[in-house]
Amino acid sequence: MSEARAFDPEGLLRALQEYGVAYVLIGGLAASLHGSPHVTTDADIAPSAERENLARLAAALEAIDARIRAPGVPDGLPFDRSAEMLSRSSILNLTTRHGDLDLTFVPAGTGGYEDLRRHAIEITIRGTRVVLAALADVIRSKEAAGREKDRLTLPALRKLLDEQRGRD
Amino acid sequence: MRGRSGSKRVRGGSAETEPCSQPIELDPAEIAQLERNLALTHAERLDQLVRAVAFIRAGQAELARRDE
Repeated sequence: MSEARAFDPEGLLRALQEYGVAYVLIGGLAASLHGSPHVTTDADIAPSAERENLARLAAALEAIDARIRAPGVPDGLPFDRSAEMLSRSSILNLTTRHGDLDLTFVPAGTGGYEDLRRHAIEITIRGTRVVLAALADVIRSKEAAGREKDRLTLPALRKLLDEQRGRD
Repeated sequence: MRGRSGSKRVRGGSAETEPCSQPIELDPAEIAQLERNLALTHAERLDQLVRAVAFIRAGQAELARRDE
């Protein structure tokens, strides 16, 4: 694998910002930002499926050389990065020049972007604007996904949520 | 793209939880990610983690400031 495709969350999210992509950060990276001790090496986002946003997302994916992640293909497989193709997709597991990026239009247990955006938190990290899913929503989607790797992280996330609620 | 077909089963666990005796199913995208991480040199892997952790810590600090 080339170092150029090593995980760089800042570069990845900055590219989305530069192209004006509307998204909510979910999954392991969102959980880490909320305080989870598990460190992840990919970013999961739920993008808005609005037509204009898909065009912006397509441009961003082009700029970061997004390719389909596949076993045995270190730099990924080329694919049609058009807005039209994105409109027909539900999940894309990608590798980019800033590392791995998973797009999920309707993450398990959620109603997609609009649903997640309602309680999302907007923060600026080192100059990069990040729209971060609420911890309760991260937990909700991991619970619904029901994968073993999610199940292992859930106890720590629930404890964090209890602590968050105790401070409020 | 994320599907169960073609998934492989590996043993796994977590330092924070009890050791996991059940096999964990990985889909092809996760296998690809593991392969690429394994292909990194030790230094590259550390660089990647350091970069991720630096970003995460900056984000956590920003969230903490908001809570104050």
